[in-house]
Amino acid sequence: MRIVGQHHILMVADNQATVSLATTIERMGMICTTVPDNQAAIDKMRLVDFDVILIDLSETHMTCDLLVAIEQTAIEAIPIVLAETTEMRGIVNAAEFEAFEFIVKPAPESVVFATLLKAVKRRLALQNIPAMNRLATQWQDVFEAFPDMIIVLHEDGRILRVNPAITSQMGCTKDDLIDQQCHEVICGDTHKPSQCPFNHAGQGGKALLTEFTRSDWDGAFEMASIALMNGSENTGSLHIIRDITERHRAQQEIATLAKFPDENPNPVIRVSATGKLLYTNPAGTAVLTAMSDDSQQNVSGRWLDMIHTAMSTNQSSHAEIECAQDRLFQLEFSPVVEANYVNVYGLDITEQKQAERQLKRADSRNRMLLGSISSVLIGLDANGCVTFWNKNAQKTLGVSDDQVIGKQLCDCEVPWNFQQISEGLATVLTELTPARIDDITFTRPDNRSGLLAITINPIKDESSDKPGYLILGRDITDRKVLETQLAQAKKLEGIGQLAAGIAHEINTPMQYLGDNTRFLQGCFDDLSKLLSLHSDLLAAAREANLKPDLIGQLESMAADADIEYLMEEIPKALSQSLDGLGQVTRIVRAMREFSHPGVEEKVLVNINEAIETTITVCRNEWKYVAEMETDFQGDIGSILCLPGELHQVLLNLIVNAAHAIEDIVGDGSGGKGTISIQTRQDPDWINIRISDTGGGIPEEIASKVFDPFFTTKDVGRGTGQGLAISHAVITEKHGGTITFETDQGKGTTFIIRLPVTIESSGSATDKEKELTNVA
Amino acid sequence: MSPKLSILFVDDEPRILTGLRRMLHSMRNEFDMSLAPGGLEALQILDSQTFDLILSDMRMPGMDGVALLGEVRQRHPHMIRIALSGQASKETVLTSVGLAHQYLAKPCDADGLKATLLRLSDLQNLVESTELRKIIAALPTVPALPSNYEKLKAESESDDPSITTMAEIVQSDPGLAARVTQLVSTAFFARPHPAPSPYDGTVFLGMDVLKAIVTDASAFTPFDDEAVLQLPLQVISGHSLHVALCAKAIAQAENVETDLVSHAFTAGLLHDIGKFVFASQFTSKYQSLLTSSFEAGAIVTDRNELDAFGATHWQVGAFLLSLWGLPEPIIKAVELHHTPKTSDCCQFSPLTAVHVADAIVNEIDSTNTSSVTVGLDMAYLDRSGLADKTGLWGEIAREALDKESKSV
Repeated sequence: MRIVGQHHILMVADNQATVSLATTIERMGMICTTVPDNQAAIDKMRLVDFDVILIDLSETHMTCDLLVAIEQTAIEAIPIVLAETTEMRGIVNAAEFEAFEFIVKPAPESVVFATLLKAVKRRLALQNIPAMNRLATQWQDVFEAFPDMIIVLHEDGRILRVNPAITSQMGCTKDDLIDQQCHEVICGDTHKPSQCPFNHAGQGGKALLTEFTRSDWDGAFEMASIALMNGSENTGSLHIIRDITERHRAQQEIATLAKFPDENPNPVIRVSATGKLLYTNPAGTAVLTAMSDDSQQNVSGRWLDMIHTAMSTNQSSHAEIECAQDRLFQLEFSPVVEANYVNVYGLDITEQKQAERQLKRADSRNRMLLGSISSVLIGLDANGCVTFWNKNAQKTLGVSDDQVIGKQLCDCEVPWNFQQISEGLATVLTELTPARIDDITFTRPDNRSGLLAITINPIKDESSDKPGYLILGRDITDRKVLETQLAQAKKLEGIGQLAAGIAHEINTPMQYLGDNTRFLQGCFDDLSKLLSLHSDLLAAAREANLKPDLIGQLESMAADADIEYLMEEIPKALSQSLDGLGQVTRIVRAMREFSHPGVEEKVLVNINEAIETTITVCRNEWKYVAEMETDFQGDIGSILCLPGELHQVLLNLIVNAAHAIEDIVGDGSGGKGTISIQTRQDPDWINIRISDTGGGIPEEIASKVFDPFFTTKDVGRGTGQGLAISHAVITEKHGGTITFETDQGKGTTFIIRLPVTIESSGSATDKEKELTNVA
Repeated sequence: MSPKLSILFVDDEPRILTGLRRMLHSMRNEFDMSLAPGGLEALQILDSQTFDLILSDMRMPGMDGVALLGEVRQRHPHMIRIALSGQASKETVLTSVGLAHQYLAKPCDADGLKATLLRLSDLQNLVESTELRKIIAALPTVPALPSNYEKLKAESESDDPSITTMAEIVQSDPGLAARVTQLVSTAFFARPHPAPSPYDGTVFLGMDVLKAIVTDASAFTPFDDEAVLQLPLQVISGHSLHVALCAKAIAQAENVETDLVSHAFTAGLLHDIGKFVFASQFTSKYQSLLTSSFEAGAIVTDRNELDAFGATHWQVGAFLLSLWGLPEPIIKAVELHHTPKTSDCCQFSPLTAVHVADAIVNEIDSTNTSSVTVGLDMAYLDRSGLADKTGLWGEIAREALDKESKSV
């Protein structure tokens, strides 16, 4: 498994933060050349064959230009682009070039390095494919001058292009071949279309190698066939045919040489069972000197033992021997028992050994580097055995490398939820793209439970068809805890702000309820006194004993009590009080509906009622600046929703509408604006339109309104999270859409569309997929 | 009987207005009531008719309460301004510090509102001069000693401000303490129990509120006029603090409720606050009054103050603190600390503590003994059965002052 070798990186960056990564990249054992702009980059690329080009330019169009230049000049290097989310969209669109890796800023160094490793790996993989496909289609000169025969076919078998090598081989002109069916003009009648070798091409960018001989072409040929893809669509195939007649001849020559040891460039020595030299070829002299006594007639020392062992066991054995001038040979002791001698075949392995030593050195350096990376880093080979387990993996998981190296990962006793990892590995194996898993539960070394976020990258394992894996992970427990606390705090803050408004809404009716009740109490006192005098009066009348002073007393008391006023005001006080009670009841009911504490599953919600509830709950937020107009389609059915979250979305949109209007009308002294909310149902969708008469959304920020943390509001009036959260709630949790129409100076309408049949399960999966794609 | 108090109620919710009018219908002989559905309407009514008091909602469309009360303070400075709001937050109070004399929260209790209005109605008897009443009503704040104000400001702006340090500064300055006590007494805050001293009140308001208002000139302001600084403000302030400490020690010794102990301290600190009003509003007049008394070798008497300003310092102090809605026992102690016998109460109260402490501190300052011979209203003390306590209280007061001087 080769992850990092002596690779050459070109960094095109105009900001210091990224430039400073160069040192670290160098420390990783790569060569990193840094240039500040496109011109310098292009100059460098002409001189050096880079593996990876890391681009971080502040101007989006410069990045695009550079990508196009890399593409057009057929440079094989893998570009990596670092950019902000918004720039990245522009780059992907403008460059129409999918082959680059990208990193969304801000990104931790580990992400940059992981992407770098991945790119280097891809570059290695690319080198395995004959590069000619790109050269041939894009580089006319090379195509024309290419010594091998090249044929490009349309998927229907028509010949699109041929190079001069093939016309000269065929003895015809281009025009004889172009647009003809390949199996007719090249293969002749000998092949049916389905058996035509040109009908087969390698899959997935891999070349298919076939060999054939043709008597009419007088020789043996090797053909590399590659499917040409446009995206995932097969558009045809490209075939490169090389004359291997010469190679065949050379192979035969080597076979012949084996029969004549004297001409063999490798040592061949024959020694008798007793160690006496029987024969050596010229190349064997150096080896013989090293393994025999001074007379050079007898093999001595441990070499003699090797001869004896080979004879007695009748089995070949191997050894290495150092000869003069630091040459190193590998020897094979091959016994021929019936003839009572041993043939010793030598092979000069000096260069190979040196390369191995270098590789080993590089490998140990890589291991040191990987060990010191601040993430959990685990290497698996194609069989799922642990090949690498860095320091941080030991620290984070509390499992030392000697407990796991060489074992199947599933057999390792690691305190994590292996089920999740195993699913991730399976996905990577089938899709061959990296997978990200964000919430693997594990037990930290201090026995507390934690959360691990990992990315599983497939890596080419040279010894197998299946990929190996590189698992890059991080303990995100503390971050998650903070995030949860933050979300909770935000929620409480929102509830607190709403609560103050609701308190005001309730306090107003409570004020006049109290005043009226107190008034009615006083009225009752006065009236009951009057009533008792009336009883006296009645009794006196019954007894026909009416005295003028009783009437006078009654009259004066009625005047004191202001009886006319009471008769007029009591009914009003009662009806206003009932109004007030109704209002308080409505608010309290709306509060209960709104928050839906404890409901975390989807339940049937009537959208009209949900809107009414939200309007009531946040009345204090809009009533000073806007009138509320509702136009509900009466027969809208209930749909499955998360009520708490849906209310939150409606609240965000209504409060935003109020703020937009407030920006125009100020404190409302010059007249209020209007918020209108409409609901409609077409067969499959419920449409909610929330319109304001505010100033509209300026064109230049229209694309950003759903971005997290984007806000135009003053500090304290909005966190910039509202619309981002709303967007997530509607699209991800309810499968709906949220869009807006805006008219400068006239207002904005937000449109929520909810499918009538929303899946009852909550779905975080879409979000996860999105993250995986970014990774 | 005092003339009817004319009140203008302002609210954008008509049912609140009619409710208030109905509730106060039984008081129609005491109050004249008018209703205005908004700020602009209120100003129109005020242009054509004179009112004693305005009681306004704070959050209204168009002209809101803050704007309305600001206009009223400017155009009709004699008026008593009360905020009645459902927006129960510290922030709302902060926007109207110095604008509203009192803050009431919706829903307000009917008896409480009636009592408040009746007390304010009586106020007109306390200070007869309309001109003086106008000046006091228009006063946004009572200035603090410059040194105390600067210390408070510096602490609030320091890297690591301490609320207890700020509380200590507040409780040594009558101007700062009056403001804090007013804010803590407002119905907008969940009022702490027992009633807090200026120190506890500062801690209760908290660092955020203090920081927000410390540089707000309608909340806190220092004496900064050249002429004012010639006056013996330090002496008055020092005397007030001594009386506060002694009154508190005496109240503690009497084992009365915690409320009364902190009221005794606050009342002691504020008992001469009227003198600060004279100093800030009638600087040269007050200067010449002090000078002439000094030259005559006499102290400034109530009669001198009445002649010069139309009211005594205790009348002005009690008027101001009533306007600001401070607790009744504090106001009584300030109003009657020279003449406790006119009180109809016969029990030990903050008034008793402040009256006795004032006499003892004066005695100690002039003769350096704690045996009080003059200045005590023996008739009042006899009536209350406390006459024999004066010796003991003298000792307690001296101890308290010794402790204070040692700690300083």
